[in-house]
Amino acid sequence: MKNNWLSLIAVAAAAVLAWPASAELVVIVNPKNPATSLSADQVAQLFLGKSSSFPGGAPAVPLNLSEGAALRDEFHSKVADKNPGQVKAYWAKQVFSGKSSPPRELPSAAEVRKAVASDPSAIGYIDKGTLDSTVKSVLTVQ
Amino acid sequence: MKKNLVAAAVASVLMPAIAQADIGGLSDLSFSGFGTAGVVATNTDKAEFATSVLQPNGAKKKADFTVDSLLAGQVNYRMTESLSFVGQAVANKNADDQFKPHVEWAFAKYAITRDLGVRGGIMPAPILMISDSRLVGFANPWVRPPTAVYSQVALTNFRGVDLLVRHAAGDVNLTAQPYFGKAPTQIPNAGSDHLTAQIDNMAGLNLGAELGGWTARVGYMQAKFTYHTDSLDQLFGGLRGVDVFVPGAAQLADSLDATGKRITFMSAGAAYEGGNLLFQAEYAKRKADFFLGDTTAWYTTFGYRHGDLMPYVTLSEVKMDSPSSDSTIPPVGPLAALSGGVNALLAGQNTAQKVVALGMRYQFAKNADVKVQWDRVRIPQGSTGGFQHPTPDFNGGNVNVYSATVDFVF
Repeated sequence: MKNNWLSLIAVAAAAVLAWPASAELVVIVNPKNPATSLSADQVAQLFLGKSSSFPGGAPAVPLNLSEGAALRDEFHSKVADKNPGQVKAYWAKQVFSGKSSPPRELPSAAEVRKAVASDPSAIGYIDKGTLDSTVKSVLTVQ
Repeated sequence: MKKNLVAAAVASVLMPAIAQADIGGLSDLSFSGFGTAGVVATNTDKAEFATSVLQPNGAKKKADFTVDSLLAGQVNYRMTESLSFVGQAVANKNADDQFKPHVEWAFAKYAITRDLGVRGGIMPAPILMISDSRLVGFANPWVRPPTAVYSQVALTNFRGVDLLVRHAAGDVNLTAQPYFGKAPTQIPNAGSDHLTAQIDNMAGLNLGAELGGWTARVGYMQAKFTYHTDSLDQLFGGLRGVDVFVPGAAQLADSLDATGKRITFMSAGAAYEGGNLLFQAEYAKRKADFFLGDTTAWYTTFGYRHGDLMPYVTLSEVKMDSPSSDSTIPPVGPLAALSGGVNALLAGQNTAQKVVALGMRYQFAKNADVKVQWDRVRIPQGSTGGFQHPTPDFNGGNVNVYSATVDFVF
């Protein structure tokens, strides 16, 4: 716990000092999606394949960024409390036990935004600075 | 199937953009794999350390590279949004002491709804909490799943069908998995080709719940077990033959004989992973109405993550719930051989042990880790402690098992 707080403070300090606009990411859905806000836990469940529906019951299709993307690592760390290695191990367990497969991956946040803008069941995440009216934010992650 | 096609056709007319977005995920083929390069040694030459009775031999003082090493490849093919196929081939030490690849899985999955799927084929046998990922070293904290519990149910696949049911109740995800099938299992046969244990009429049910980093699971499985060897048949024939002189001898043979006998596994487990902490514990009870006997086994693992390093400790135990000797046959005169045979058979099933294991996992790359582990196995007198081919002077005490593995996925 103490370490967590320390690292939180460190991250916050780094954010203030070095990452002006890019420290925040937003989880986005299609504007037609009735969901207005989701908890980090709900988002994590969707991206870890533990749930496949939005709270109202509508199907959810998570769209991830490709491995190695800084935003992806930040998303997993803040929303699912997992570092890239843990994410890899988690999916190894799911895939090699025949249970589920990881979300579809897109090469850039711009493509994620485009895909979410055109699919009512899609959910993705982008840098807050690139949020526009083609998509709807349901969670801001700091 | 047809409905889906119709739905897809309708969707493609009404919402071209959506249909297009979906097509990318409709038909895809992916290949992946995992493996472990492992080395293990012990501090005794009086018995051999193996992961279960499915391995014909194991490690002694000299370093052994065959107990934990394996290589596996997997193909996932999604034909439509609802229908997918999984094939997995694994090469690891088999009952004939070879590293010949075998088909571990070949099954089809059909998603009836988003939360209800049916699978059929050669599939993971989900008897214990991580039975279906026990070979995937990279996905697990230890060098190998704690043998105290996992050697009680060594099989990894079965032929049959299962249902995967999921239900979200608030923040809790509930799962149910009934399954039915059979599992012919290769058993080593010293000096010649393996024999096959028939595990038929397998019927099981797993119930799971997940909340945040917590997972809880209970499982039950029952099956009919049939296994014969020449020496077992000879022993039981001998017992039935002396029933006239020794009342109860035939009854004893019937109680030991493994022909369509009931075997059950009951298990309960819980796991937590969050922040820097990892906790996993499982309890399993085996009941076997034949010579194998009843056992109670459990383990508890705690791990603490420092970045890519995770030291862990595991405590585990196996207790025998059935007697490991029988006095029906007096060990006198011509009956001595039969009496000795019965008692050797029962004593051989005694795998009682208490283990303290300390280990360290280091994830040195995104898709690879290295682990070291030291198991201190305390074996009560009269037990093999799960070790194989014990010499007559192997009579318990402490055995140290030293292991190191490199696990990878690709």
